[in-house]
Amino acid sequence: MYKGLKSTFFLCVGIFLLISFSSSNSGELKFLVTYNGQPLVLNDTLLDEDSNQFTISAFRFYVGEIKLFYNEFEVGYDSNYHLIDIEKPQSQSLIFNTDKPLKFNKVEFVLGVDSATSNSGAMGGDLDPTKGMYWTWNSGYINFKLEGRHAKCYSRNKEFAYHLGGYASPFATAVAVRVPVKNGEVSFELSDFVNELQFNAEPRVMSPGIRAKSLSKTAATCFK
Amino acid sequence: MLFIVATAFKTFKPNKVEFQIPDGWPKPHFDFKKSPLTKEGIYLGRKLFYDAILSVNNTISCASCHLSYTAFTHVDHALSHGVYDSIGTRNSLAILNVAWSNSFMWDGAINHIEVQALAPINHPLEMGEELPNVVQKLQNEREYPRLFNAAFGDSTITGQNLLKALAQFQLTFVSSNAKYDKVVRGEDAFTEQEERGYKLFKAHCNSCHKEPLFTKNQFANNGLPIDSTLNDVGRMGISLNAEDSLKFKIPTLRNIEFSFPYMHDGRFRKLSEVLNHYQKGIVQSPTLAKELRNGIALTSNEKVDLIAFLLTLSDKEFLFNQELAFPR
Repeated sequence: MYKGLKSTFFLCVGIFLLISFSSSNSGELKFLVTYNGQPLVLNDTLLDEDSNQFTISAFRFYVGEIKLFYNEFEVGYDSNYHLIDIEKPQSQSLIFNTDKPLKFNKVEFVLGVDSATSNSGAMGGDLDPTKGMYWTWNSGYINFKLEGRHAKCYSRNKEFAYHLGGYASPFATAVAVRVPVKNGEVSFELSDFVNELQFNAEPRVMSPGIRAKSLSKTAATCFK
Repeated sequence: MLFIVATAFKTFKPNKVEFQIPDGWPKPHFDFKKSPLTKEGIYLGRKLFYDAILSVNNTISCASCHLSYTAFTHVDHALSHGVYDSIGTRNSLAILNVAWSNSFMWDGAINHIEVQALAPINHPLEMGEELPNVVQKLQNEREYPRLFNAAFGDSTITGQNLLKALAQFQLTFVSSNAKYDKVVRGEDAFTEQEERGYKLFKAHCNSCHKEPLFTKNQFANNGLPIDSTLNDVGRMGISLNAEDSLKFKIPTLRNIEFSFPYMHDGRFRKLSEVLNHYQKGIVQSPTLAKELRNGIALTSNEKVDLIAFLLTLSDKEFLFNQELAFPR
């Protein structure tokens, strides 16, 4: 009798552990932004890998074609484009409307707006040009925008601006991303992106081209 | 009280307008099924087109550089000017038959008519304004929320709806009733001189300025010497492709009588200067249109005949259409 209780107990513990370590979520996907593992706070002074000071004043990017997976099964899909803006914390949380709780441990999405949408004229919602993420001088979306100041920038007020966009071949910058998800959260680790930048030589990338394409690929690898 | 309740529940029912394709013309590039024209959308676009509220200091409207009587372009100015007496870098293009265009601006920087307005609204040398400010200014105007509601079923103004309304109005700029068109339809006849000019046109100009739009909607290098005060490389600035160096949009020749000065930087004031360029002014370059390698051989009489034909492309019905002019 005692032995049976013990095994039942361990069975219960086992089940409990199984449930707590699997990802069970209620249909909410959160995009977090961290710097060296810590949540990014706008305008806080940060140090780069060479101990230079810098601040981030704006960071936003488009995600679209979001597919949620539980192991290899697709359990959720959102074809809309969403503008993730750390100045607007509500934008970092995407709700998937389902009748039963959603369980997922992987996500696939596109970082940036695809070519078809970029050729479709005036779009609305998060794609409305009033969001400041559309190039007025050269049709197309700015997929990823990072702005701030860095001690080594030679530019006015030591400001830097990385506006990554472009949809026309061969400089298309929208990139597919596929990452595991824990507790419904995906993190963008900014240090991996910042380490690729050359603040002293290139404080600005603001048009389609080779550099925008290369930095977009880098940005895609920062999601964890 | 009942009246207020009744109007509050008025259903959103804009009046659809069917886009008329002139006989024998190709299908428009614009997708009217996806974005149909409505009477309310066109009217709103018209009010916005003539409203300087779109500019940072409320002095420049679309019509400032795109006047209906002069083929919706800016005459007498080589380079357009904007707020604070700024001078821009290019000549304003004639806005007409845009439903058939697949790209906009001299370098094709804009890929859809709906997003074209963003370029002049935002350019510091044109209207110098930010789109969110325009939306806010319009929201505070007495009549615009009502007009937006009539056109889109929403009195909250968005950048998207503002752009769509402007596009709707511009899509109605169809010029297809010039003397040339009447001749093609058998309703009129060319004079002998105009007929000679038409033959010359078909022999020398039609490959780029293809009928009936009088443009094949592509980019070409027509041998203009580069202006070192501007150093404008044209299409290459957008495509980043060396093969596009010095290529510019082939503009329509319709209403050319009224759209002087000519070329992307307005360097030619008269059509005779344009023809002189084609005859003896072509500058060779790797990207020069192959049809122009040897220039266009024209005698003085032929130049006069050709110009006589070009004048038959003037469409007074279009130019003086009060539906396209300042709304009263």
